[in-house]
Amino acid sequence: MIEADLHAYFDGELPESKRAEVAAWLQDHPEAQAMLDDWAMQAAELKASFPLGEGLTLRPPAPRGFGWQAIAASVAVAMLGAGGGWALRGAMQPVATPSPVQMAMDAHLTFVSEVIHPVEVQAAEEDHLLKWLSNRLGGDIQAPDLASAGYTLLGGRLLPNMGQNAGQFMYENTSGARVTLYVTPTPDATQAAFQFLELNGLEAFYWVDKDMSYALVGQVDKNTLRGLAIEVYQQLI
Amino acid sequence: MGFLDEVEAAIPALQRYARAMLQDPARADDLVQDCLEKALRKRHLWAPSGAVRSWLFKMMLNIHRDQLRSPQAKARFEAVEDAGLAAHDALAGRVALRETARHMARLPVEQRQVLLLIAVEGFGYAEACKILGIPKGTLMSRLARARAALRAMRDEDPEPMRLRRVK
Repeated sequence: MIEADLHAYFDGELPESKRAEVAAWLQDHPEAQAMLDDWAMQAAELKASFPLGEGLTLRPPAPRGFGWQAIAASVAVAMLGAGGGWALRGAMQPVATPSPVQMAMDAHLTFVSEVIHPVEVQAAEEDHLLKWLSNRLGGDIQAPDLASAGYTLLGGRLLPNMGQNAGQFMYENTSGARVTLYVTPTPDATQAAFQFLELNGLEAFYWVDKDMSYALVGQVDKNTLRGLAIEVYQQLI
Repeated sequence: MGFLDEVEAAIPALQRYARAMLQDPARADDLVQDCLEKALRKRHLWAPSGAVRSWLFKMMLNIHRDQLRSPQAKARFEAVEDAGLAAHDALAGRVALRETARHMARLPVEQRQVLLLIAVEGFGYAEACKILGIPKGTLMSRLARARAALRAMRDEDPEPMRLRRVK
């Protein structure tokens, strides 16, 4: 039995003839039936968590971009202190979104869900990958080793970045969680501030160091991501 | 039922979907408003034979995608006492996400989109494919991954949120 058929059966998408076959198969496979029961429970919980809205009346068109400026990103800005510790930066000081973070998040969303082609060059060819990215990005590009944090390098790829080039490394842990490190040349950068950005469930740490900007992006718990970001930062110093 | 009636009838479901995707009621309603305004501007493009509801969902998802990808999409940065979890907790507390909603928030956007269309809004596979503009194989794999991920999160979750029986 292929899983797609189980979903189709569950969602009422199978033709009658096939339905009976799956139903009979499920009789003999209680663990699969338990999975379907879980799906039913998920659906019920989702419907309970997200009830229908109460309706809206149309309002006159808002000025362009109004709603989006009020985007509810929850963000912390901090600086990496001299000793690698965290220090307070000015209070409630709005800063512009660094566009490399947006690019990094977009690239993350595009490639992280890939099963077959998550990367262009596999980690097995890491030397080739690093040489290639170093050439195209113009710098000594290194892929940090995050094995101590449980994340192994899957590989990487070259990406466009607003007329320039960027590199993306992808890492995965044993439970399949993936984080990406997005590297772009930033020749006139002056600061090395760590910034944290959360946008629609996606989180990123962003910093600039030695003519390169880095964005570590993932949907993992924030402390984990911060630990990884510090690890990356220290290895790339 | 006329075009406007059908639009109006679809609004509560659009709000539900937008809130589940964005987890911020105010922003979600902005998205629905944007969608409705666009729908009314473009109503001449709607083919009377088509379903208004899936046409609206497709439009709303396109607007959302464009917003996510827009370089003008501005995020607000705020300083907090340290780079700890304060901001994160404030957000979580403000929207008071329930367990399922929190799990949903951890899914990739594409998987959330699919699961909500199928499991909550009750669209068929073919309609969901049209709304999202993806082939059926992609839809199926996202659906399978979403369901598997939610199961796994439920299994791994400690149970502080659930009721415990006291002897």
